[in-house]
Amino acid sequence: MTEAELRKRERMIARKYADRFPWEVPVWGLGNLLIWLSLWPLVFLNILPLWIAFPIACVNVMACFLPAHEAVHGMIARPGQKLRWLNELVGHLSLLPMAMPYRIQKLTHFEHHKHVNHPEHDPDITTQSRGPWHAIWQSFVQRQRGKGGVLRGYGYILEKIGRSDVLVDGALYQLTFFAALFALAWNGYAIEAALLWWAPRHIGIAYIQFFFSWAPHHPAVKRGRYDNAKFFKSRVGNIASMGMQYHLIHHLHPFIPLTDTPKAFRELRPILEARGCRFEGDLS
Amino acid sequence: MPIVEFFVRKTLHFMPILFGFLFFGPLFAQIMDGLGWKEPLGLSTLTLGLIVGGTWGILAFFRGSWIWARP
Repeated sequence: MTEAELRKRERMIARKYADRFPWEVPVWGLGNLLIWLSLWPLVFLNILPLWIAFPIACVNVMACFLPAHEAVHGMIARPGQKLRWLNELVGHLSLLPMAMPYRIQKLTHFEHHKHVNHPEHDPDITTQSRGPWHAIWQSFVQRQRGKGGVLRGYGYILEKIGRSDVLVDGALYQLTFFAALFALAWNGYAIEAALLWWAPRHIGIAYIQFFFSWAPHHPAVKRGRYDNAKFFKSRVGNIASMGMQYHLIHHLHPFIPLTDTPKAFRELRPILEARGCRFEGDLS
Repeated sequence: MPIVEFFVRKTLHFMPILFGFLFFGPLFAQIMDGLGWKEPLGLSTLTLGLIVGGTWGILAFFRGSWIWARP
């Protein structure tokens, strides 16, 4: 196929997946939040043991990012559409277990898409690491205060694009998060606060950075449209790796819902092979 | 607004120390209580928790890292 034919065929296939209403995104985002919120009274009232609630809270934080990510790309509704309010509601609310402001996530994520793997302009380049264990270690090291904490690099990027105003969201989220932990701790619920929010948040952020950012981009050097991410077979499967086996599909066509990227990949595969994309492991 | 901004900036600046005392302090105390420790080192669990948590917070503040390693 010629270059023009490849491009046309790729667009035709991608468009097939663009018009579906992704009902699973609001259900997932809001349902996950409700489960996490319900853990608090269930634990406080001794209905659910803390040792069961803790892993559930970890899963809640791990799972809270993707619905917001879908909202960032207007998957539920784009600006001006009737359900745009729902799109933004899901974006804001689903990130609460992670104590991450949606506006910061949205603006910095668009910069990631514009400058994938760029050493200065990609806000997620901080996850660049030598290997999987180094990536996990780096996730904890990079969020230390010496580099500006969890939002390291994001402040720099927001200032660069003239949107340092949204850093206010970050400050308010942090103050609220810490104030909630302090209040719980001094009312006799420090262990509950640590195991329902503080520790799950740290574990969840490491998990999200590992699968969402490090794994699909490693070694995060190439910057071309078809090689800035790779297709890979995850040892833990596609669902447990946040659907990131097919992350390049998202970079190529960000309007395709996450749950449709495996199908889109299978249909697009001949084109992707012709484009010289990276494949690691058997994804058939 | 400048006063609010000043307050927010300073609060976040000193957050490791605040976190060490206000969260780790009672957290360590409640863990010791849960383990059934009575007056460890002759101190109340809260006092010891505040000493350990607060010291860690102060170290994290000056070191710029809770885990010693810095980026």
